[in-house]
Amino acid sequence: MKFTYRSGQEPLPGYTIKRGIGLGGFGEVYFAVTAGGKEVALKWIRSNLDIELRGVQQCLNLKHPNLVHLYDVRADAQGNHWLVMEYVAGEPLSAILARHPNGVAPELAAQWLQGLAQAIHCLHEHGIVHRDLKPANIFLENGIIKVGDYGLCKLMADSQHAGMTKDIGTVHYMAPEISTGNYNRQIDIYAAGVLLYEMLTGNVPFEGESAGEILMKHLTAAPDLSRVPKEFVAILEKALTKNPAHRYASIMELAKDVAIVMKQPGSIVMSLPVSNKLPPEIPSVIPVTPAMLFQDRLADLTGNLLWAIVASAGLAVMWSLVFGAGDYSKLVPIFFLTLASSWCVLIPTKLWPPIGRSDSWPRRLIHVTLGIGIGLFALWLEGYDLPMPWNAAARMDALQPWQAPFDPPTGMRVFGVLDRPSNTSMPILTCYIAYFGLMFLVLRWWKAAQLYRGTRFSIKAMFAVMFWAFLLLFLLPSLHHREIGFVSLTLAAVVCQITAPWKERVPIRKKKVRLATA
Amino acid sequence: MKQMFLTICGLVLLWAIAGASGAQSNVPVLPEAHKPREVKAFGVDAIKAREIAVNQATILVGKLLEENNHTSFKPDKKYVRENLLVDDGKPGPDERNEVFGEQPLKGWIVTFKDSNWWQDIVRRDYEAQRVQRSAARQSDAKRFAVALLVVLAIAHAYIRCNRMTRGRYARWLQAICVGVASVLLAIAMVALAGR
Repeated sequence: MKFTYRSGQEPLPGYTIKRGIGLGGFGEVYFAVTAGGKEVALKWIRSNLDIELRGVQQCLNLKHPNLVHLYDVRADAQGNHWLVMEYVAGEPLSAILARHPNGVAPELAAQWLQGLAQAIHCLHEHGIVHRDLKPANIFLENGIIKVGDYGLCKLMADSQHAGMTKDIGTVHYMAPEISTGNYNRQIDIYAAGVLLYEMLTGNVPFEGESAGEILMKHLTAAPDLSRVPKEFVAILEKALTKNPAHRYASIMELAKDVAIVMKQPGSIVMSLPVSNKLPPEIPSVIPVTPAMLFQDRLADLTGNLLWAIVASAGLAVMWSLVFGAGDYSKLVPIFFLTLASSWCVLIPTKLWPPIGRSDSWPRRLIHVTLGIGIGLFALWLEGYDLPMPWNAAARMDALQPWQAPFDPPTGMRVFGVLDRPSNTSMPILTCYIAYFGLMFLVLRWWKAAQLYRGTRFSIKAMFAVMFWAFLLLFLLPSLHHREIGFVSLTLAAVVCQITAPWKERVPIRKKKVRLATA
Repeated sequence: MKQMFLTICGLVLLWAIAGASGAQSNVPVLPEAHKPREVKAFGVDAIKAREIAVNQATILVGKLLEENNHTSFKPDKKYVRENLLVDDGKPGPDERNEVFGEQPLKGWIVTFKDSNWWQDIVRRDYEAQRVQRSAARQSDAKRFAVALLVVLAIAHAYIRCNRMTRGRYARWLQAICVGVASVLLAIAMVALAGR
């Protein structure tokens, strides 16, 4: 799917679109600036127009620091309706949780829940039920939680609440009573409980292979609370109970219990909450979020990088033992190139986790740049000198391809596949840059290191790397270079997969599911 | 599809940029005046004379390389005989020498090939330089990797411990980490100084 409007277009008078930021069945969301320079988010409402507008109009005058503000609803010349909203520069909670597969620190989860509770409490006080609380609708901007997408009834079919969902992700947060068609604001409390569970553990309480299976678990199964910190067990039991009458009567009760638990002696010292409508017993805010998040990410990243060193060394030694035939001269370059290649996949994937439609040109550009860097590193490691202004001794002619006319080629001859005529048509510098640059350009390396993937280790992914590494081998100048290039990239594909954290991607059927039948 | 497109574009670009270069070698050519033509040597018999001639040719090529600042590649007799000289040479005029008595010394002449063997020698010198540089760099890289491993391990341990203790002992942990790093650095420096 592509965005209908491009940067610079002005579908709504006075609002210039800068870029698209969200796509879905409900419509399109753009980042835009007004004629006066104010940054806003524009949502083009394309489906369920009447229902959407009815919901939005209820919320236009809501003001709360933890809610994404809705400014206006406007119609353009073609009769399309646009919702003008506050632009939130922070990232969605879904992106943060994707980076923290084991959940975030309890104090952070508690702090974010306070912000969430404030927002939901404000909605409930105005008679509005959010109905679609999920990490993708919650944003964190400068340590402050912002709840968006409220007032939009996009996922509920009609006024009798016997709804359908188009968004498969939403079912993870859906209260059991929704299937009965008789529900109230308790569904938001249930969803908040699911969110708290997910923030603490990194997983939603109920997962399954289809939306129906997940909904069935919401209706019948008890959540596994053995993984949550013991202070939160009672709270989550109450928030996630099947019977809405036994749940917290209001979201603020839930927030208050969380705050009390965090203040108990022996429990985590709390450094929190968020906004101005908290009960008086809750202390005021100390924004610790960015530092703690950064530490978590840094810990994960350093752990992955360490494992990559160990795995690269082990695999390079194994390769040399099995295929090296007593020649260990290539062990060191293979190790370093494997390590460099795997780090060049692990680091960007960690810092910029692929979420949703991950294959973008900027990501490809980053990868090709890193691939070129690896090519230059390989060149340096092989002892070639680049003719740079600060290196007067370097000679360009030393970078020309050359096969000693009197020496037979030596190197690996696995199945004889690498022993092909030398490439003497390109300077060695170009050979290396082209080979590693293209290898990082054509393959979606981040798929091997992203958190949610089908299996921890995919032999298919390894063969894909081997296929392309072999296909482009003609670029490398000689057998010696070919062995190092081919082997190191193949091993890097293995290292990335075994060292990157993994969570099983649950395949969900993309079709409408009638909740009443679940 | 995108992959194929990107690959084709990349290869076309590559061909456009680098393919036409032909990567012709630009190794300097030895001036004709400096190029050795033949070497004459004497020995008690033809076989000895031939050996001495090849030896002298090897020394001559070595000197030529040194004069042109190509000191990494040291050609041996086998290389010179097989690649630089025409056949085994030919007998030269005998020479009488009083030291050796009445028996005349047998002469032998080896002739250098006309082909541009100088380029091959210089490229071998470049290769030898490259191999030396490569060994040095790989050695540096190994040391750097060990240092990086230690730094990463310390950083990882610090962050994990700090998160586990919820930041209560951050100062102590920092002090321990700096201490461990200092001890390891000192050990490394002592080990390096001992070499």
